[in-house]
Amino acid sequence: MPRFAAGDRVRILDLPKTGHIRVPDYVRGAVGAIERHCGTYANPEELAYGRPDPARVDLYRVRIAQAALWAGAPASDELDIEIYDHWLEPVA
Amino acid sequence: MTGYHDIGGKAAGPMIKLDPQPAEWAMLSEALRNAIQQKHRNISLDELRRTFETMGEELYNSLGFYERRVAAFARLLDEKGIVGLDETLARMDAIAAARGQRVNHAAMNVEPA
Repeated sequence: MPRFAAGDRVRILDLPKTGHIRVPDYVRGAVGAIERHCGTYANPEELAYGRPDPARVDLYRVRIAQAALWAGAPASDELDIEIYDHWLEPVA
Repeated sequence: MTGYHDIGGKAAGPMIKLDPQPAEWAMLSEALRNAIQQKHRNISLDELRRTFETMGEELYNSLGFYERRVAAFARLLDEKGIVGLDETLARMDAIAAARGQRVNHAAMNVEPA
């Protein structure tokens, strides 16, 4: 059962650790909403080091207002980006 | 931790729109990579990215998109004992020699023999 559902507000974590974390710098710490659950895939942090039988992790599409990322972006513009469950936290 | 490859979303000036056709060797390298991955199942795209994202900023920026993928793939084939780096370099030398060229491995380019 996925941790998040469409519409849930989430923060993309700025994890203070090394490793293969596929969270671009420009969305670290950003708050958005789950747009959809995209399925369950092998954890890139394990795949990147060739570990056998990597854990499967939920992947979500997260929608963020572009104005929250770039000053001067039109209020109507949004960014969709796919982020794994363990790189997200819930926002009340 | 922000890597040197992580430049998305940063100010970069006007967009230059190009639609280059990849060189034949570039397409062949991707085909080989996929074939070997299908057979061995132990070199993921994530591992390839991890390898070229840790090859050092200077080398990363000096290589093109397919060049850095090939360099990382050759390194991973060696690390995993699938094809030794010495075998890869020797094969490069043989192919260049057959074309009347030589590989300058230090300068990472091909010269007339």
